[in-house]
Amino acid sequence: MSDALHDPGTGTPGPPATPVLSATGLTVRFGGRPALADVSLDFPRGRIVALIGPSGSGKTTLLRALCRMNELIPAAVTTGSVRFEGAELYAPEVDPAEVRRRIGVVLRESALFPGSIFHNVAFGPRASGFAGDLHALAEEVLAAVGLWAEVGGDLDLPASALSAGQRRRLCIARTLAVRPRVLLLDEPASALDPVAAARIESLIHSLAGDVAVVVATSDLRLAARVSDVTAHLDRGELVECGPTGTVFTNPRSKRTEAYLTGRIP
Amino acid sequence: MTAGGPLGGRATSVAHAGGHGAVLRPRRGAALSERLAGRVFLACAVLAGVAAMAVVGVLAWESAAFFSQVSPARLLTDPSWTPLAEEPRFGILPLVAATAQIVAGAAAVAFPLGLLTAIYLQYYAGPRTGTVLTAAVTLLAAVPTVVYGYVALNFVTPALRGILPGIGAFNAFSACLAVGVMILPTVALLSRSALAAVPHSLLETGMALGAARARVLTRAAIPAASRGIAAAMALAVARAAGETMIVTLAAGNQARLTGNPLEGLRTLTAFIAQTSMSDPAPGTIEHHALATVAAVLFLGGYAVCALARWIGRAR
Amino acid sequence: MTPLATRDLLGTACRLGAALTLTAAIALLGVLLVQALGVVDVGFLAGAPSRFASRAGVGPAIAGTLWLAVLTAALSFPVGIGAAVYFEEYAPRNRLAGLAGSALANMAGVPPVVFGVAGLALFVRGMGLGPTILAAGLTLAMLALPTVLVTSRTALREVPRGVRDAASALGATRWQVIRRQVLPAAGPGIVTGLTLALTRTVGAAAPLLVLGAPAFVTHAPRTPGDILTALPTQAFTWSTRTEADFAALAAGTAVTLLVLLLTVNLGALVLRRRLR
Repeated sequence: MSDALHDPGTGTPGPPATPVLSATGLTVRFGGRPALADVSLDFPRGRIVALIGPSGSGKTTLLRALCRMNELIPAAVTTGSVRFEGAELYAPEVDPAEVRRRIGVVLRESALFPGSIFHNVAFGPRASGFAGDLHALAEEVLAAVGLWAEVGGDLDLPASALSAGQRRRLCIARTLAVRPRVLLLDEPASALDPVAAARIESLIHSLAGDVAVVVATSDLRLAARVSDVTAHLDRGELVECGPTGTVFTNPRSKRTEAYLTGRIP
Repeated sequence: MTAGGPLGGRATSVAHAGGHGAVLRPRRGAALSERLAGRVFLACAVLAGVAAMAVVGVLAWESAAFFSQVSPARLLTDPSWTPLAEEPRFGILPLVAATAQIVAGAAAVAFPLGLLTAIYLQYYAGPRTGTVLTAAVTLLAAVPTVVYGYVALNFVTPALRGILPGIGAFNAFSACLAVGVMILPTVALLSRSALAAVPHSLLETGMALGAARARVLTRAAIPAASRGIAAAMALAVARAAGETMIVTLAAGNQARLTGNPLEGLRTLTAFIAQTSMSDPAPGTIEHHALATVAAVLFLGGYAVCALARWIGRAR
Repeated sequence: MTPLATRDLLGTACRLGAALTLTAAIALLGVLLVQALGVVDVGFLAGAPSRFASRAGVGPAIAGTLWLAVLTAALSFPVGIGAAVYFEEYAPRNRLAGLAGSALANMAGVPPVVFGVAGLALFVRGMGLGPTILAAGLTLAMLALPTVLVTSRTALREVPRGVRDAASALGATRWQVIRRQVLPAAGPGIVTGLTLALTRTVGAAAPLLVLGAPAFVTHAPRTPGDILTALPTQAFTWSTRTEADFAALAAGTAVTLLVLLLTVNLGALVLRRRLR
């Protein structure tokens, strides 16, 4: 199944075959039935992977497992392996904070910190001991998400003054400021008006290449338009994974076909 | 975003260092402050625990000395408390009954007034009256209890004498009034925050169905907040039972209990205050009695607080 | 036809209750102020207790209460906030930690006078400190500690989970999340709790009486080792005197104490504004 990932088949010159991030037999329980059951999945360097599936299918759990966020929930038990550039993320000597500096995540309820835009952007770099010019860094990442011009370069503007779509992009910008190799986005365009959602979509496109992007979304059109690879999750299991074009036009699994066409299996 | 920023550099150097495992380890300085912070907070928690255990331990120790001379059964059944008599008797019931009388009287004042004030503040007051009344209640909460005692002794009792000529210079009645006003802010402010926590949609639903405001309040809002209100009242009871200065100043020091609110009485707390002012020598039965009464107050206050927290939390 | 305006019995009762509460507050304050009016002046604030009411003052008691406030804050605030951070952010989520946290929180219901009895045995006699400012400061710190702990825990718990998660997601370590996001966000709530704890304990007379605060101290304490004197006990001493002159002194002392406590509250209000 993961063979398909190595050649996303998008026509662009293929990146090196080694995945940047690779999950093997990943299982997460919050007590009781596993929220994620034995999922093995490779994430190619510089590409966009979409995780699709109904709510409760384990998309968020998988995203959080890839950056060791689940362990902040006391009941969570994770087994299996996640390797990042060859290093095991769940090895006992690994510091989860260091993991999250390399694998950045924008959570679904992305809470902004009280205070200015600058405060929001500067927090992550400061926490990882960034010694360079924070203002230059802030300008760079805000420009990357298209916020720099919109706020007129005013870093002292309170973050609460931004619109919903701008807030979402600020959350992405402050994650970029930590310079992650992998960017995990949970429902990045949900509950936004169409214009704001379109901006997020083009932003995701522009980010790929420098970083690998993983998008968990229940918006199938977003997944189809934005991703190179699509993985379908259902009830914690990986149902199907392959190049986005193939998955959407000619899925191998009946369950995937049913989900894509909106039929209740 | 351009590549080759700090992360690019870091990633490259990591590659040179030969593998990421080493880099994903906690950084040296960070690991130290991280461990240190956790230990300092643990130490604070331990210290708080030690302080609490010290209080419990010292009360238990001295109470044990008391019980080596007076049996717990005597303490609970003897009808009189005369530690200074030639043949001292240690029956705690009169003190407990006096405390109960003060609590009941204070509750009779504070529960209705406090609850009505809370409902008024939450649902009826305009912005200006609300601010003034909140300030007044907050002020009452800030007044030290010795001040309430002073006012009860010097102003409330003389004023009551005009209405009730038989009232003693020290009497339970004015102490009850003063303790009642003292715990009023506790009832009013905590009940109000319980009412404020009731979802606004509940009220709007009731109103939309055409019910009168008073009916929505009594049938929906107040029942919804009832746990919080009950917790507020339990905490107020704990404060009233533990109140020392008002009863010492206004209710006097008479250990006989008649139940007549116009006469004085002696509560558990007043016994501690009065006895310790006479500075009993350490090791005497009187001194041990002091700690035993304190232990009873400790258990009572602790239990009521636990109850209030349980009521307030359970759903 | 039913009239649109119906009689609101509850509303009438509430107005009556609120009016009575307001009356009580005004009466209490009015009586105090009227009594204190002729008493409080520079001589009263700077002077020392005297056998003659006309010459008596509360200088030493003010100094004592300021000392007690500083000691109580210095001893109980760091420990209480630190323990709150431990229980909210570090403690394992198991029964034992939950029970320990509850056991400490319930101490907040123990009457102040009981801490006096414990302080008498532990500090005045056990450590041989005698009835000093230090012994009283330690006792009041023990009294304040549960309130500091409970209110700080509440303030920490009210910091939205999303803020913690977002900070962790950006690669902050646990201590960085706490120091840079959680504590600043909880700051105003913590300050409110500290104010409550401090004003309650500094205004308490009962524990100080039990510790053996002398009725007559004419020298202001200079060090924590000096003999205990404070405004609440001074007010108590004068309250028990039957002469009208001394009753007025008690009112003057009470007003002085009240002004001091309200100043603390005002300071806290300013601090909260700045933290926000």
